[in-house]
Amino acid sequence: MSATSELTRPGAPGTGATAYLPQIEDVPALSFTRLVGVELRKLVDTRTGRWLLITILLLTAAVMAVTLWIGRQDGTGLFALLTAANIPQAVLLPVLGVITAANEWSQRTALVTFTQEPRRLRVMGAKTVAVVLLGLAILLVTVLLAVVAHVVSMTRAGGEVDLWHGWSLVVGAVVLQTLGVLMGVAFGTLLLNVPLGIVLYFLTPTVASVLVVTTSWLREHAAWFELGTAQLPLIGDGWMTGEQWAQLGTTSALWIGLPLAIGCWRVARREVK
Amino acid sequence: MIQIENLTKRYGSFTAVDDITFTARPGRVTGFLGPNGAGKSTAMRMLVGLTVPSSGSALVLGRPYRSLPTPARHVGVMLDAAAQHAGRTGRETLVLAAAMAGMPRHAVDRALERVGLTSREAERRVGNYSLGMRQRLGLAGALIGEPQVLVLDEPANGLDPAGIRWMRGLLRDFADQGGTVLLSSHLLHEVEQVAHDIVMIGGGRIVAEGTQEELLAGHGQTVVGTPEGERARLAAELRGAGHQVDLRGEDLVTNATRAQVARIALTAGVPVTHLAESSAGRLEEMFLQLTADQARQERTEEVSA
Ligand SMILES: Nc1ncnc2c1ncn2[C@@H]1O[C@H](COP(=O)(O)OP(=O)(O)OP(=O)(O)O)[C@@H](O)[C@H]1O
Ligand SMILES: [Mg+2]
Repeated sequence: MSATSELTRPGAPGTGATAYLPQIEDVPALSFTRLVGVELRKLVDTRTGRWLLITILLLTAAVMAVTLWIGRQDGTGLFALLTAANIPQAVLLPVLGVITAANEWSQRTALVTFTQEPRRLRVMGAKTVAVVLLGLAILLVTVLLAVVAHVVSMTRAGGEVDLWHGWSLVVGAVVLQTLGVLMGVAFGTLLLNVPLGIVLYFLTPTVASVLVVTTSWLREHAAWFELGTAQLPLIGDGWMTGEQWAQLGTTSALWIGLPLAIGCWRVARREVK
Repeated sequence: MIQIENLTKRYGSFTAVDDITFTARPGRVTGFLGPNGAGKSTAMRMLVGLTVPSSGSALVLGRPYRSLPTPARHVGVMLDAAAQHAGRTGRETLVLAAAMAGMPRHAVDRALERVGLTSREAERRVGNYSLGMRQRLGLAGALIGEPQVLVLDEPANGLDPAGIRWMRGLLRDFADQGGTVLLSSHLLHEVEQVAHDIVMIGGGRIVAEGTQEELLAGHGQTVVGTPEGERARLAAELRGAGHQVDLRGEDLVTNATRAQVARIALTAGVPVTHLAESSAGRLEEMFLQLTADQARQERTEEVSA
């Protein structure tokens, strides 16, 4: 292809036609904040995502209402309200984590997303941050709801409003919520398939618990590697000891760190098509 | 500018893309042509970093695609129009794409307008889109960053004739403004209509490459139709007169001129049902050959399976 043939061809560029095109150096890199924003948007811009969020909030409100009704005589404590609210959230928020991490592979949108941002682990990082932020936002709404419910209930029953009792639980709930969502993300990333991720997220810890209960050595040291045992102190009525934090660390490494690491390795290497 | 050098992809012992080298230049539409399974999509996936090459390299704008800081701002890619979330609206899909390309929100309306999707259509869920609308949406997603390079895998798939013509115009304009276009197709006709340069691939290897004029030029052959029973006799007469003869389908293809064929047929008393100068160039013959080889191979595989 000589220069002359290029000039005579219909598609030959006019003089300076490329001038409007941005130079690579002039365009700022896609920031992580923007990536997180995009991932947050993806969490709520589909019917599935929206309904899951609405369901979580409705269930939270419903569970709190039941708690209020049970304690209508003497008024309901903040602690009771928060414990109740944690039940639906602990079940459903990790599902949101699985969906975020794995959905693009089920929907094939990974093809588009990883073309727009080829640094795949950055995308996975943004997904993780986005869904944790969403989980914490939901928790914030829940705490506000619980405080209002507590004040109203105590005022009506003539009991004493106690906003202090229950704050250790809020700290615990923040950690618990984050760990739950992270574990959802970890299983989603590991399996890259939404239904499979959800099933194994619920099944694996249960099977592990059965194993622990039936083996005496495991039973003795359960807190070091069994989720339920290690996380129990978080929703206890007091602050955790150093050893309890260490146990939370080892179980998290096993149940979140390990699947997440294997999952990230898979995402980075997998052919997207 | 896209530079592909010695790019190879092996899946186990199967080589899907076999040591291909070519360049797609600014200001030109480069057609990547090949029959089904030739390795076009695999090559394009390697170009944009979705598939890791076994060896070789691919550069876009002088860099590996993966090292572009905001790739969607410089390179518009559409590999599969079906790879959209069915639950999102068309507009929402583009809002996300605009964010990923670092473009302001009004880029969405401009992209919609450019591909001819109305705002009513943009509010519908992608799951309810027709094939053609999905193709337009995919193209809008590729164009949204106002890139200088377009990489499109079978962009005309699912478009009606008017849509195909519209796409052709759009890609030509894009190239006229200095952009680089690499598009793939398994239809020679389609590529012929839009590409300045053609890279033909078959069985993972480049089999022909050049400008459209170079590749599509006819080369003085004559196509002769005769009743089936007479075909062999005419072929023998033509060969006897020192011409080359090939069989293509029901027809004879020879390097003799029409006048020479007419005279020989008359002398031999062979009826001729039609006689024409071959319009097909080297490329079409190679392409047909490639496609036929492929079909034959598939048949043999079916039989042996
Ligand atoms: N993961 C894989 N494992 C094994 N073989 C593969 C894999 N991916 C692709 N191939 C093979 O590589 C070859 C090239 O496929 P490719 O999709 O690139 O073809 P294509 O030219 O895009 O065809 P089409 O026109 O049908 O889209 C095919 O034979 C395909 O079966
Ligand atoms: Mg293909």
